[in-house]
Amino acid sequence: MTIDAATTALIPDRRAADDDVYLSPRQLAWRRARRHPGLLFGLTVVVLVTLVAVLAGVIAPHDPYEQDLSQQFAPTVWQEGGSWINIFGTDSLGRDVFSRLLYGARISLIIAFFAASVAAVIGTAIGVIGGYFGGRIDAVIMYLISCKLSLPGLIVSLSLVSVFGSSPVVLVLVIAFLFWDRYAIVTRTVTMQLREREFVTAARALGSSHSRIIISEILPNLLNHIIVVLTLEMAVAILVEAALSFLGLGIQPPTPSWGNMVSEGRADMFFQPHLVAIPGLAIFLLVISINLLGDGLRDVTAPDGRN
Amino acid sequence: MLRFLMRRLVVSALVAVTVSILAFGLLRLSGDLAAELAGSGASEEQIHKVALTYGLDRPTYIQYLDWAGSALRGDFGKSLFTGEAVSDIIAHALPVTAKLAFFSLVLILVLAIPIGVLAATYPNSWIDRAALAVATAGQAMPSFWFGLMLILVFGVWLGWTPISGQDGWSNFILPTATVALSSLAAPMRLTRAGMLEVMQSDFIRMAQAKGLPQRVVLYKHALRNAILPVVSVLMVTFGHILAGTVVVETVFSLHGLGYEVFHAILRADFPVVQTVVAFVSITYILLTLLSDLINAQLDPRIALS
Amino acid sequence: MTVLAFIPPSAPPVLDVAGLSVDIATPLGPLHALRDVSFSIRRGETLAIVGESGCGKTMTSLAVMGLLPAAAKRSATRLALEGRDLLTADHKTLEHLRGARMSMVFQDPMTSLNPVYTVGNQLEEMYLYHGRGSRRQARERAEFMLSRVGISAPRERMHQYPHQLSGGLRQRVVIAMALMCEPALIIADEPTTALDVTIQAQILHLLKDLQHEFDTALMLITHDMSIVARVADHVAVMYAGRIVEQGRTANVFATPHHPYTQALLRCVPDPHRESRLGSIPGRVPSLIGDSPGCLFRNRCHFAMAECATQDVPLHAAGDAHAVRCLLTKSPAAIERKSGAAAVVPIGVTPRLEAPVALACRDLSRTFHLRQGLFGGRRDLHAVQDATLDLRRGEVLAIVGESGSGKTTLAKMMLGLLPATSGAIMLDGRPIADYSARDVARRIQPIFQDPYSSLNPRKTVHQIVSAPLEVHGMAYGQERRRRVDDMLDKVGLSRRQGQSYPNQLSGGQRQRVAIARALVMKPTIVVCDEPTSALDVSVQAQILNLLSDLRSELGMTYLFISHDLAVVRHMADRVAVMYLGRIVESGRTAEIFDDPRHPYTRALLASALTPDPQLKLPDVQLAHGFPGMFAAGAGCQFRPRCPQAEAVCASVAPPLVRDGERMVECHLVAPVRAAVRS
Repeated sequence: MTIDAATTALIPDRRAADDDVYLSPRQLAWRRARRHPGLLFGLTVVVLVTLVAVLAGVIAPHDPYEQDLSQQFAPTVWQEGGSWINIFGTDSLGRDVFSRLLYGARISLIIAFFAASVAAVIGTAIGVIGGYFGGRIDAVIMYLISCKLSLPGLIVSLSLVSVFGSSPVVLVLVIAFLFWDRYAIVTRTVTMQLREREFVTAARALGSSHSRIIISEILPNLLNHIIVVLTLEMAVAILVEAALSFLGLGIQPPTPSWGNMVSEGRADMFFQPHLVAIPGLAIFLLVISINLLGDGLRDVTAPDGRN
Repeated sequence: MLRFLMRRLVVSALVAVTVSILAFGLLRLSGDLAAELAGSGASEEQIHKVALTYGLDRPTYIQYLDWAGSALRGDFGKSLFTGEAVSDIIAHALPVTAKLAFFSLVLILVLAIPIGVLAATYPNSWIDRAALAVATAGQAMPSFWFGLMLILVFGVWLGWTPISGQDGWSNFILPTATVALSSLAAPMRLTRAGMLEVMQSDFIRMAQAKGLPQRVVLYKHALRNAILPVVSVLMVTFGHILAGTVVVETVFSLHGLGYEVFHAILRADFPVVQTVVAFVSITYILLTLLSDLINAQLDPRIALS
Repeated sequence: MTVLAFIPPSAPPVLDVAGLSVDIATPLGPLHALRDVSFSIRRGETLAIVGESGCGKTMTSLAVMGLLPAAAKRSATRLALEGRDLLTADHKTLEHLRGARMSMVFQDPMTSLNPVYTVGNQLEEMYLYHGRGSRRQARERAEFMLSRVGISAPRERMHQYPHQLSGGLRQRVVIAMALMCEPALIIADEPTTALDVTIQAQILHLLKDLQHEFDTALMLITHDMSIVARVADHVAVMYAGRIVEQGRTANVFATPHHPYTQALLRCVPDPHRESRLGSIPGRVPSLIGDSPGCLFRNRCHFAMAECATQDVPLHAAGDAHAVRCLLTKSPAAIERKSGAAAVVPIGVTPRLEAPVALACRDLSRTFHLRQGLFGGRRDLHAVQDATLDLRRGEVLAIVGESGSGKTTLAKMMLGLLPATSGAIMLDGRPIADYSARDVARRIQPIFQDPYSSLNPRKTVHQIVSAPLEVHGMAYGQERRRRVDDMLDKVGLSRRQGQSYPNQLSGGQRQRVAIARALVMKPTIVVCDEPTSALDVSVQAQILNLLSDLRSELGMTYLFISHDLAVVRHMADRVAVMYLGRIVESGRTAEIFDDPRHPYTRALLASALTPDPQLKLPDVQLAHGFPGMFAAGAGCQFRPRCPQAEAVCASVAPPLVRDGERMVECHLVAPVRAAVRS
């Protein structure tokens, strides 16, 4: 059962006998995690998809690039005439949808992970510098963040990809450079709060240098927030990559990406709706799992008020 | 308060200028825009001709100043492919996008805030869980896929709505639903979180201790405080919608700003691209300013500092 | 104390509570927040419910008002307000009663007033929603109440927002709100804890006066025994959710029967006496689950075998006096109890000839606040012309209320904030000659908030090692040994060394802060309100620890506090600050026995002692409060000074010296005057 915050505030500091050691932050988080259904579900699916992506080469029944025009538009296993050879049927070029789906998972995860990580580095650096130093430096940082926020992310991504090409590296960098703002905003706000805490003042009173304080005192307290944002940004990255691929400026066919699979299936949507429904559903499930995981992490590592 | 707004104005102007420079530079990052336009396999001479025609041989900063200067007078250049004035293109496309954005915002407002309040009033009830589920689902759905699914279900199988085109109001039903669902999550969660937080505050306890009826406590005291951040989020959501309609317009064949700029990008039609990007960005900046103004009005702590 | 003669003893109580219990269901079992609480209050009477944090006093008030959180279950044999049953009352009835027949005053007026509505609006709505009258009548009543609580220019105030008023004014507004509908009962939960000492006395006076005038019953919740003594007719001492002793204040204070009450009284530092503080070892037990016997036994000096097994009922122990303890029953035990713990004075030898470790001369710090891009600048004179000497081995206390500049001064001494003008000398040399690291080696801080001063992501051991790490002192084995040594000295176990701050209580965290400050063996420790955030019993432990370490290690302390009792207990010399200036300084005993500056006098008068024979002090201070921006000539204390004269407004007060004493005031007769140029 859940206890609301008002009740928690009224329960006195639980102080047992001196032998009992109250749980450490890590233990507390672990315990909460085990009871959080959203987090568990999200984690399970993400781990599963990752495994599938890694083992795609082994699991996939067919070569995702292999075309067979005699086999185009084969029905799915649950439709009339379908078989287990092509579980999700085939597309307009006779390629097995299931295999393409598995390989597509790779692309989505790889791009998402690296884009979110690079964005994390950029965004955290910017946010921490602004939040810690304040004053003029912060004014510059806010100006940078405002500029970034004003730019229409998708449109600029499209432009940059059209200029620099559609390789995965370009996609990673483009997404990273256009979606670091949430990191910056969160780390800036938290850093500003941490800066006022007395343990930072104590560190200054020790004569610690700024860099030492940032690394030793502030970053460890930011880690939880960064991980939560990282997870949520991965979801965003997947959606952006899918949109770019759908519009034709992302991963180029024949390389399978869930986004371009939807785009390709669109032409035949009315008669073969599963060609659009299935890859889109895959995106949806992956993204929602990552979001649940991220939200779960946030719930689990949320400060206890007096932390 | 006046000083606060003046300062915001100056910063916004600075950001606007920076963003216009970025918009201007977008398509030129490859190095040689003229070569892009001339196409692959073009000879040196052809490239040079293209450069001369579009003024691309001049120093970059001159090109920028020329464009910015003309823009301030209302002349945004001409499309390279249709010859139409960019301002005309925008004039045709903007109403479509604006309608879409506006309807979506209204739908979000009507859904997100009441549901957020309801979810906060009965936390962990089925209403709360359902609301969160819908919000999470909406956030996770790729809008292009959802749009296509809606077309399939409501347009084709059920035949209730038209599938494409932009002439009538009914054309906007499905696109609005698509956009609204994707952007519903943030305002709803924020309202819910804001209400929950406010409900824990001391002044709410005080209001209850004063014996005020529960609805007064909820609407007069709690909501009024919780609403402050929601206003900002709604403004920002509006800005995001304006900026992100490329996908939905493509799916539903609506010739709005997103559609136009997308095709312009594909053709390296730089006058259209740089103008639309700058336009959308500056609209966003103005919206943020507006939300600051509204906040300053609503929160006496800011208004009277 | 109220004279009860005119209230017939048979008058029905306004609030009648019997057998009140509150249980909260937790994943680990039911938490018994309140058990079997019984009391009653009549019109015109004041009942104080006193206890430390977590004892259940706030829970009691919420239970009476019916404002418990959803997860809490309330039960009672009787719970009646003016004869009306509150237990079975439905939602609507409770809403009618709240505010109209019983109202509350909360602790923090900043958070209990809605920031987006005007003061007037929040006052009027009470009247309107209880159907007492029209809009106009509500407005008139609100204005009347504002002036009744001592707020000048009430009509203007009605249109102001909470954040535009000072803390004291806000609390007056809250009190006015509580009285809008003339309720029969006011519940005040720590009404003065968030306020300055001099304001506290005024607010308590106000409450008592209003109580007399409106004949209201007052339930006062507090942790401060001194307030209880001066304000309450009856007192109920709570511990771990139970009332352990209750009765008439005079009786309970004269002969406390319960060991907890006795211990609590011994923990209170007396501003007029020097002694080693008593303390209570151990911690409050868990309230979860059912355990028989007395819940205080693990901390009680007199615990017997029966205390663990027998349930202890509340029983009479004299006239209007009840106690929940087995000891009072056994005659043999009475002998043990009557020998109160001997009062052991601390040997504090002022070292006059010791060298000056830290000194400041004419130290000033001004903050330039900018108002937006085009606004003018406002200068905040946080510290002005401060001159102090801190000698080796002594404890110098800096006393002041909020806005006095004492924390800014401390930060400058620590080298954390540059001075605007003036000099700081460390061991005879200007502080600018030292590098930041050298200064840190010699001066270390202990801060106020134990929940904010430790990094939640580091273990205790890591926190205490950090200074050694930063300064490259000791390595490996040697470093670990020094840290363990230090943890030992402050009373922490090895196991606690491996814990994270969230696993420790407030007192334990403060010990960690002390260990961190001392591990480098600095010369000087700056203690900024080190015990203000702690319970009285824990405060005593920490103060004793600080005193012991000082003797053992020969430390020098710069001790910042607003609590005069603590200062009297700890300090050799005192400097009193007001709005950035040091208005008086000298030896502690002298200043406390013979305060010369009017502000010092007011401060000392406002400091309450737990002596029920005394009444509330009548502190003569005007309401004027210019704030730190007034740059006018003359004395800054003048707007509030009861003895201000014409010269005080135009000429800055001279610094009058008398041996070690310094007073900055026109009205002090200069014995050997040294007029400042």
